[in-house]
Amino acid sequence: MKNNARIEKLNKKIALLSARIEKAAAERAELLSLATVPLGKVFRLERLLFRLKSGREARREKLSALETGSPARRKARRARIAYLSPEAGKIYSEQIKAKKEKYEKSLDKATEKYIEKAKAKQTGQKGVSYRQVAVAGRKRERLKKTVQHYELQLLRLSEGKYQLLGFFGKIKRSFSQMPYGKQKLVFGLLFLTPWIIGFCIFFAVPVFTTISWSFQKLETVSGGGFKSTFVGFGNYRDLFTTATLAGSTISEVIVASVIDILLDLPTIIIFSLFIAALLNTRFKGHQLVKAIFFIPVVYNITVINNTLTGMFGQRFDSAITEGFNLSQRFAFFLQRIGVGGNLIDFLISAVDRIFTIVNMSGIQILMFIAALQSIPKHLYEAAKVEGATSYEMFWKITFPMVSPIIMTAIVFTIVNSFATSEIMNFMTVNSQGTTMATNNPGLYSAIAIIYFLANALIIAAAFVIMRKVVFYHDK
Amino acid sequence: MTSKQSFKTKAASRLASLRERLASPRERMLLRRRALNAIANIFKYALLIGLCFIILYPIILQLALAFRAPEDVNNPAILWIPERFSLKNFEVAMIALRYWEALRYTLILSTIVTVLQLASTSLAGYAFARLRFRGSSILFGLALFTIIVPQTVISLPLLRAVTKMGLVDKPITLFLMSGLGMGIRSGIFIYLFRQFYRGLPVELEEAAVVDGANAFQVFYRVMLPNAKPAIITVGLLSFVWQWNDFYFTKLFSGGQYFTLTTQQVAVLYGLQQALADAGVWSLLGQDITNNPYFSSMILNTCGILVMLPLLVIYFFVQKLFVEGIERSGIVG
Repeated sequence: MKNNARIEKLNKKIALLSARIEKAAAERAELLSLATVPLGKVFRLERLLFRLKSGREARREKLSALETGSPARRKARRARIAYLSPEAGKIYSEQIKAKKEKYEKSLDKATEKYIEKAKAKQTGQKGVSYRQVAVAGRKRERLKKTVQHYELQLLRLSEGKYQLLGFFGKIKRSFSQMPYGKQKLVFGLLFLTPWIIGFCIFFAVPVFTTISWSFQKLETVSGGGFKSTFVGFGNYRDLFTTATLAGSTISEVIVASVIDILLDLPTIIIFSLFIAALLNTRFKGHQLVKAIFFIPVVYNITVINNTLTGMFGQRFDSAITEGFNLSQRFAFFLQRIGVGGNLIDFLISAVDRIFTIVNMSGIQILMFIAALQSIPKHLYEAAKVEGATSYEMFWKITFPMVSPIIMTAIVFTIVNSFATSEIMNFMTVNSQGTTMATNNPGLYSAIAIIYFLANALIIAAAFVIMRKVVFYHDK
Repeated sequence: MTSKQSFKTKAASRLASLRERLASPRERMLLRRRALNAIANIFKYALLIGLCFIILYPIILQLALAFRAPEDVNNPAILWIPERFSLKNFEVAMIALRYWEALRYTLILSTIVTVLQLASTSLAGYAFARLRFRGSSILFGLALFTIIVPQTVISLPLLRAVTKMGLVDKPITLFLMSGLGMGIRSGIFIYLFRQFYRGLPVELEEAAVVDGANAFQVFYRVMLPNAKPAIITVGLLSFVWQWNDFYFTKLFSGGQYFTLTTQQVAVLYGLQQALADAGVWSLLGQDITNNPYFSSMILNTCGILVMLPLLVIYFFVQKLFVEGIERSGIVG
């Protein structure tokens, strides 16, 4: 029963396909009988015909298998390559011959010109440069290749093996014939196009707008849009003289943020390098410890901060600090042994900041572990054979090999800590609406520029300091 | 009695054998080294456990608070372990956050953004690493520049440009930005991918080319499967950063498309209103709801609820992640 239904269905489909094939064939015959044959249309029809025919063939095979009852589970295989029919091929080859002759003529001309130029150069005629000779030679080569291409096509046509390709097939073929160097260029540009488009729309334009806004006074006009007047450095002057946030001027805030970052930076870098070196060794439970150490990467620090500064946070903090008043005792100890005041301040603030530092150094630890892993082991073996101590090994092998990633980590830390510093309060849009910046885009842009400059300045300073230390492989 | 006796004899024999071993200088050296190692290990573990505690402390604190019954809010006798366990906080926080709806939106948003970021940044990173052409180093410099310029700096003009394109208040803005390699910290991802691909041996590529692969096939069939560690790292980071992002999600997808983080911040600034809107007042007595400690507790529970799915996901992929980091040579 089931088989009968299937046979009927297949029969119907075959009849349908046959009808379509007849129609397409009739159309093709009509096109071929025209005075000037539209070959593109014919090619397309032939590809269609081929597809229909191979589909019909496959269904016929299935049908016969069903009728005879043989094990017909195997899928009937369809032919994959469509060739040009002999009738269309004849017309096409004539066209190609005409084109080929045309190109051959111009190739002859180009060859003559090339020989002439080359001879002129050899005999030392004036006004002929090597460049001209090379250009002529290149033109000749190009023409030669075109002629060869047509010859190949003619050969294929005469053998009846001219393959019909669709749009994508043509692209694929042209790629497969391309040399690898050129492919790299094409694909490089192709891979980068989304990024380039994104860069232009979402980065370059806004950056230039920000810069130009910072020199303008913008007032919102009713009905949308801004009315702008050029004020030069007026915004910057306002920024440093009048603008305030919670009672502190911008210069105070910038100085405070920069000092914060300069304190945090070395601590974070040294701490994370140390922790990475520790985690890099294999010990019992290192999987668990690693999993815990990367939690700050996942965990949203603002959420934690909000809870810790909330009412309960204070209660807990006081309970904890009563328990072990660590930093105070530490300071007392240091004063006893006679360490200078500045160092004490630095150390105390570092201890007080341990929460921030641990939470901010997740990514840096991650970078350093990766860097440590990639140091070839044979370096250490060689050093051991030479009798180096582990202290020497650290400073002579580990540190130089890790130094490029230290630079990366420094840049990341600076950018990151700037993004979470006080200065952002001038710019961020909070849920209660917007800060003064949105009402005054000129001032906002000026803050943004100052922010960026402070950022870039610190990074540049870090680069200058680290330049002598960083060791690159490819240099 | 007998056990004490046997212990005594055992200790005596132990001591004797130790003395014997100490007699020879080689044994002495070995023992000293072992003792030093043990001390170093103790220090190491003490340090690691301490640091782990610092990391886990806020989470433990949050958990301890979250399970406390609202009636015990003012009880100063309870610090860590709640006297009466209750899930009422979670109930209230879920209503205030509109939890399930927000979770669904967040998951959709983060997943799509992660996939798009991975696609755009891995392509760009590969192009910068291996498909070099004249001027590509300048482009790479520009890519580094996008890392240094924080996106907040350009957010106002960006918002204006997006508004002009008519894309504001639609999540498609975020998809477009991440798909075009300008999402949250995409520059860093491009840099990571570039460094990773540079670390893969050139011979792999050459072998594939000799076997007749074109440049796309080399990327798709050879380089991408080898880049699994980098893909895991970047994927996790991008997912997490999108999850935790408040600024851009709020700026570009506005009120209609709220995520857990934006809800959390909204609740932070308007808890009373959010609770009143949700009709939670009827659940609890007046004396509890007017207590500032109560709002603090609810906020804290909101924090846990926001981070919980992320932590669960993290603990599932954490092994892969750690291994991925160890094998990805993110080195310049």
